[in-house]
Amino acid sequence: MPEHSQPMSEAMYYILLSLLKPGHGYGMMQRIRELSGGRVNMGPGTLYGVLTRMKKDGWITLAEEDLRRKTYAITDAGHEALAAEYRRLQRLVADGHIIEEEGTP
Amino acid sequence: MKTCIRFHPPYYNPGAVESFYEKMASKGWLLSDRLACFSQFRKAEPQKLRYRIEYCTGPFGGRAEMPEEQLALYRDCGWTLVDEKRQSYLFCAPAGNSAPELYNDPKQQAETVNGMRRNAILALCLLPAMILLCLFVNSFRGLFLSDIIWLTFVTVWLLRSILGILGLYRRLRAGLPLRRDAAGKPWYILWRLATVVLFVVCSVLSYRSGSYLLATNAVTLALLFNDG
Repeated sequence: MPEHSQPMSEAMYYILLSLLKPGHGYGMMQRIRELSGGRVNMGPGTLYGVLTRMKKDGWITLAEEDLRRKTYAITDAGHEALAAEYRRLQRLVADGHIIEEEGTP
Repeated sequence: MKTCIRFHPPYYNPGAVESFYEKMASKGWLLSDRLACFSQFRKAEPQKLRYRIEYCTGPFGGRAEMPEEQLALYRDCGWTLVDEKRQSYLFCAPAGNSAPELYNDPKQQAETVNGMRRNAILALCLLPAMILLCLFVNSFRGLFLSDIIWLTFVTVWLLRSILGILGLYRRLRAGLPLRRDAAGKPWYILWRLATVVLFVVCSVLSYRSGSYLLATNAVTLALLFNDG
């Protein structure tokens, strides 16, 4: 994903983060909860909608499929997009250092 | 087994639909079947349940099947599918359990009503042409008072549905969650009763004035009541 592209939504960011290890729907939801320290409790409808979009964009791929569930993995394109978003967020945090210099109210 | 039938809120107010079923469950009436604008309930112990409805609209207003993968995910999260009719899937979970909300992002949830929104816009564009066509066809034998009353009412009904869907989509896209406070207001019951009364009045007027619109009225009544 080019550096100037639209920021990723929180849902997309955490789903890609969770798929650094291949996972299936319910497992992803639990992993996202762990990664976010319990802060992000993703709904299954939200998860499914974002997975469908990311499959179409080529950021994730089907790694394994059985009768009950599908396991997804992040693609190289998804990895690049995630890394670009991480760098963007790091820059935002770094630029925000003036909050500490100015003193928080 | 004791059963009862009640009008349920219209489909373009999913928050009210969900609240309605929750309220009925708390009074000891569990949903057994959803019809066009009625729901049938069976008597049971009062329970605190959460109901959530999701729409799956295909092209041209038809029904789209919810993928089995998505249904399996909802099941894994603790949601039970209790009804699938027309364009909607209704899920239920006990109030106290850990089943997460189906959507924690209203903007993502807006995508589920996008199909209905597209159909509503199409209907809005076609509505003036339909009204003119009705007037033109009926003008050959003269317009009767009952025709004008019924046509006006149907137009208002359709506009209400269309604007309801567009308002629902706009609300979700703005990041606002569904409103669940409208179930207590019985306005939709009064509206449906008014429809039946108006149908009877217009049908009597049509018959007495020699209009042939009786069959058309019956068809439009069936369509109007199919908005559940």
